[in-house]
Amino acid sequence: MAIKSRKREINLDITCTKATSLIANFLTGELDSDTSRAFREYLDICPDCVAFLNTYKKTIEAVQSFYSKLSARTMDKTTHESIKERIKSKIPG
Amino acid sequence: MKIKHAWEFEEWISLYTLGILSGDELETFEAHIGGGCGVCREALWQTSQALSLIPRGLPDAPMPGGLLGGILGRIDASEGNMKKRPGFEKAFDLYANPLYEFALTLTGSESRAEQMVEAVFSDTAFEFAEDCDLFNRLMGAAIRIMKPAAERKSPLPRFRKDGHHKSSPVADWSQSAREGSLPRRIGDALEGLSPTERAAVILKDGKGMPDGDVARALGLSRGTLRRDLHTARLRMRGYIAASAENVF
Repeated sequence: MAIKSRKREINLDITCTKATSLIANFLTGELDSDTSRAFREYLDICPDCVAFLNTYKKTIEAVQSFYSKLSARTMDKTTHESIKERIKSKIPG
Repeated sequence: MKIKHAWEFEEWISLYTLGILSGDELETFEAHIGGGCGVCREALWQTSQALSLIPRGLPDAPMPGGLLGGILGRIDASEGNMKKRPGFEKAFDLYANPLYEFALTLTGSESRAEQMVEAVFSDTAFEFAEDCDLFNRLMGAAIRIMKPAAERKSPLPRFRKDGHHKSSPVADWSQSAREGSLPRRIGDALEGLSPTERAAVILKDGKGMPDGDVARALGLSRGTLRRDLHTARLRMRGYIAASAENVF
């Protein structure tokens, strides 16, 4: 309850719902200065949104890591050639 | 990409039609024609037609044996090449592996990724000639042929009527997550997204492509892309959070 009343003092417009919708633009630095300041002030008093923001960022990092592991894999030469030949055989000449 | 017409190629058309263009010039010319230059293709067709009429204009004397057949054979061969060879092969050699990498992340399975590469190239095999945005189109085709995920939507965050998080306190597993366990969770979480959401996450967060390029590849406006991307990240985060107790 103490947190709630302090939230009202800082910015009446920001709630967790609003803060969650702003995360993506906050991370890319695309919030205008007033909204960005309000967002940061809100984080100062809402540990739930801090946790949410941290885990949102961690999810993005995990996707990067997941992709970089998979992207090192390529088709082997035989598969590459056999797929190519199968497709060529379907193209009417 | 529109193949740029160059006048020097026109000089080669009659030589090519007669079958006396050779070496590097032949290779360059065939690549140009195979690349889809409309002006040269039209000129080649007209030259072929004109040459095929020559015998009718000649005095009634026997032609050297096999001349006409040779000419027509070469014309047929060149038209056949235009239909299938350089455009497709080059495109396949250039893009099959990047597409496979994309498909592998999209499907999570090597065999499904190979099937997807084959299906995409089979579907688009006739479209390679004049396309500057080929890889984007191939990725778009991959997403279109992908079956929607099983109806297992990962949860979005829920809020109380007063706008605060419904499940409070929100667990912060960003530091406690074991590095080894997260990639597997990400693979599972991706499966709970629609094909478009999945592709948006892979291309933007995984591959690091700019918003504009991702939006073009997926046929979305930038606004829609950003909305879908945010929703996809929320769902993935929700999936990981829901399993966090068992994982971290």
